[in-house]
Amino acid sequence: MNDHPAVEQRLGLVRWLTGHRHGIEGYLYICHRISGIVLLLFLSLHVLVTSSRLFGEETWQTLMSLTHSPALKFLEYLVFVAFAFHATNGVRLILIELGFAVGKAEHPVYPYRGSLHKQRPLMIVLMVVAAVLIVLGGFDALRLGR
Amino acid sequence: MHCGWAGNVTDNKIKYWALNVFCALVLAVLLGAHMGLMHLPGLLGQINPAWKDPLAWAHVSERGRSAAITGGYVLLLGLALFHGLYGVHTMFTEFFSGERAARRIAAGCWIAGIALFVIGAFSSVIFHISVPRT
Repeated sequence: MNDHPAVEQRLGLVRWLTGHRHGIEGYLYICHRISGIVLLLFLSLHVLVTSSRLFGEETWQTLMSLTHSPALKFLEYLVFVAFAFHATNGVRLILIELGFAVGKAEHPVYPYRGSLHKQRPLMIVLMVVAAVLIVLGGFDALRLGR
Repeated sequence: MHCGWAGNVTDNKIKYWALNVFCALVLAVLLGAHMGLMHLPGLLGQINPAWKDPLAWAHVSERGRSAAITGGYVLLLGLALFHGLYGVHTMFTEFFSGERAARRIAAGCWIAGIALFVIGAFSSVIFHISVPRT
């Protein structure tokens, strides 16, 4: 029974992390949704907090002094991480949606040349951009922040 | 049926989808600038010292006095809420099927979006009107 397909379901950590079964794009899809929810929750809170401007300088300063705590600084950085990822992955999705990096229609002659050969480099470039933004944000929060 | 950017314009789903993609494109630029200025003050402050402390009351008031920035905030808020709630709507309709559920999800998203938009836009406009001119 060792050759039963169910035995082959086990991927192991490395193959799971590299998107063996679903492709890395599958994980990006999940991360895009999670980061989107994080950003929407932050936006709702952000609208309420920034509305406090109406109550004057003192109220504003009191609220802003709370954001200087390390825990809130870290949460603020996580929002930046979510934004950097969501924006760059969103650009990738829009480019593909509009037909860029999809490739031209071809006869299915073996060996097939999948559009993945064009989409994967685009994904890598944009994820490098996201990583650079995330590192810059972290650098700012840790070293140069307010 | 022609599905795409200018496909069957009577189909609300396509119109909302196209509007969602448009919002995403504008947000990538506007929100990118906003997030950069607000969350990378240490780095951008090296370029322009005025960007070093964007949350200081003096800078908040200065931005509040500008009609263009206030308008930009309201536009940004509307686009972000539409884009975000369109995504939430999509996710919820994947969990709950049926005509009734779809109507409730849409209604919930519209109510949440309008409420947040009214709070955000109202506070921005009132702040613009009431902030002291020096």
